Amino acid sequence: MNTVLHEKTAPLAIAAGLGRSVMAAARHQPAAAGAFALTLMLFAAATAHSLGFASLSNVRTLSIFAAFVGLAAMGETLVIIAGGLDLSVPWLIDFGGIALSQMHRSLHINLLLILLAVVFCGMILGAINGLLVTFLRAPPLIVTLGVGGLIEGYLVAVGTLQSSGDVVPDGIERFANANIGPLPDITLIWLVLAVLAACILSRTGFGRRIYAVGDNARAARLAGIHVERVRFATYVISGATASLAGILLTGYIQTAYVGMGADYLFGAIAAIALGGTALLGGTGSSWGTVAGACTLTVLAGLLPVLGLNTAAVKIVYGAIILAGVYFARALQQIGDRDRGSHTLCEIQPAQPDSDSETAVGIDPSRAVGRLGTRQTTGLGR
Amino acid sequence: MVPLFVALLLVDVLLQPDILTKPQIGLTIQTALPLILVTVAQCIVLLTGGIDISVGGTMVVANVLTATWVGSANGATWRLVLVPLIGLILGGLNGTLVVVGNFEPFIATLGTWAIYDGIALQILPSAGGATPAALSSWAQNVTNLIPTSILLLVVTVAIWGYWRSTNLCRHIYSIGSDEARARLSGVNVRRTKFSVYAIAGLLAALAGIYLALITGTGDATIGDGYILSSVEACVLGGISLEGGSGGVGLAVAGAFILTFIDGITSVLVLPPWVSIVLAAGLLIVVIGIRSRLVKFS
Repeated sequence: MNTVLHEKTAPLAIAAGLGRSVMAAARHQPAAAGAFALTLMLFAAATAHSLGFASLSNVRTLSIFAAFVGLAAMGETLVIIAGGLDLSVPWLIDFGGIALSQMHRSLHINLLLILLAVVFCGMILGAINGLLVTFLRAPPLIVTLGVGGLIEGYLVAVGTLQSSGDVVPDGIERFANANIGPLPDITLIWLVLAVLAACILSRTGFGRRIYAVGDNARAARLAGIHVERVRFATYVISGATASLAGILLTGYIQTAYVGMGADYLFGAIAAIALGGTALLGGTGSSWGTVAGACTLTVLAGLLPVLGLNTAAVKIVYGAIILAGVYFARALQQIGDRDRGSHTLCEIQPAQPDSDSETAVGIDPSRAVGRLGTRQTTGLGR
Repeated sequence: MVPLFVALLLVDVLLQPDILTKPQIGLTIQTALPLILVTVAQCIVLLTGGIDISVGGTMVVANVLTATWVGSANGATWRLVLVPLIGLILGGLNGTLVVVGNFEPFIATLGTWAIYDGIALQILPSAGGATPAALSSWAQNVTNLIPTSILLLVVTVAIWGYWRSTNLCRHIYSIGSDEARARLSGVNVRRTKFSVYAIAGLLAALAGIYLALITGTGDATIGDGYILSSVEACVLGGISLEGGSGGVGLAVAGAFILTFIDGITSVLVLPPWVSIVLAAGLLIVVIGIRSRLVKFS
């Protein structure tokens, strides 16, 4: 009896915690807050329909799936904010899983070393994306698609040369299915990294440069920012998070195969867009992507509960993506207006410094926008 | 891209000389035609600087409708005329989202892709159904005077040839190269963009219908592979993703390049990864050369 009670109250505590973070985020990231609110509404609707939806085990499962979407989309969020796009994510996920099992079979070394090696290889693949995008100045959509194809070809070749029987390391299997306190390991890793990504974006110079590059690459270059270097770094990060997502996914589903990341091709981008990150670059947040990943996962879990078939699920899924992106944009615009925002890419007359100073405290993107503005107007003078 | 096309064509012909008989040519084109139609659809959208992810969804809606609604009863074949119109409407919805809703094309068509895919899955949950037998045998025929696939390709190219001289086409290029300037010079940007997405929907629907006719059945899951392939074909054909440059004829050549790569690897019984790596490598090389050329010109 006690355990039943516990199972029902624990999610409430989690929900309360979630609610607090929504309130805190709402001021700075209205779109992210909107997506969180949407998640909560969907969750409440599902719980009202069947109480089991809010059971601890279900919430845990949902949070794990959200973590996969969130991790796949985490690095890509940075890429997109910097004005790029990474379509190689699903193949990086495949790579993470398959490389893990291959290395585990052929190299008899510490599991932690293998994990580091796989993530490092993922970063190298991300670096190839970054190098090609910055050196060739080619559209990232095509370059990352091509690199994804090369990775797929490599994985298919490896798969056919060394026949099946890939073993997933026991350690990673145990890890992926274990919990720390109420939260599964995977969810915890995701949240820790999400906080880290949020801090990088909002509290470091690198983060401000990412916004600047995505907002107006020319102004950023004039302001002395190494545009190529920043973009390159975002692709490397995307390679790391996507291959990590692959490792954890492999541990969780206890197998690795080419195509296991396919759902995350557009799923990650949908999560990013739902969180208020514009594909044009320059805006968005890590929290938005976390919220978007939660929305998509709760939605995917809710619809079957309501007795909808796969077809209806897809239709609602698409409609929610469109509606969510629409409202995310509306919320973001309202938020911008409240803060008296100006369009960053416009070259404007220099503003009084006191005005700009307050803007710095509010939004990192604005701080860089001011930097860019000052530089360009400085040149004009 | 033309030398690449010619080279691959030569390799293909040298590897299997009997490909030059009329039925074999017909079969090759028959294999390539669905991708060609989707590529043309993608191409005109890319020319305006947009992108259409939902071509895969529109395609399967038309595909399953042809295999169920059209082929379900005798005397229902006339309904086939309505299927392209449905494609036009689905494409128009994309256009509305982009033009009126101000959505980024990628996101708008990503959402509608899921919706259209769901609709197709609702109509035909598992592969099956049947297309009108007479129409199917006509579409599959490669031994008559002019194989149907060749006829359809010629018609497609002829329509494109006429369409090139229309105002709509000129407006597409002007929007793609500089939208603000196009608007200032009196181009109705909104109407043109809307038309482009609608026509892309129509073409994707035609691809779906044709695929249903040559396979004789419908399948709600075949569309996904065409989304990125169509973009790849356009890029191999020299279409710029920024819009405004490239031609539909070259995009068709790009679709053939992908088909030839598949053909050559299957003739040589090469492992499947070879064609994947070849296509991806070509993509990077072509886009690299292109970007370099643009930069230095």
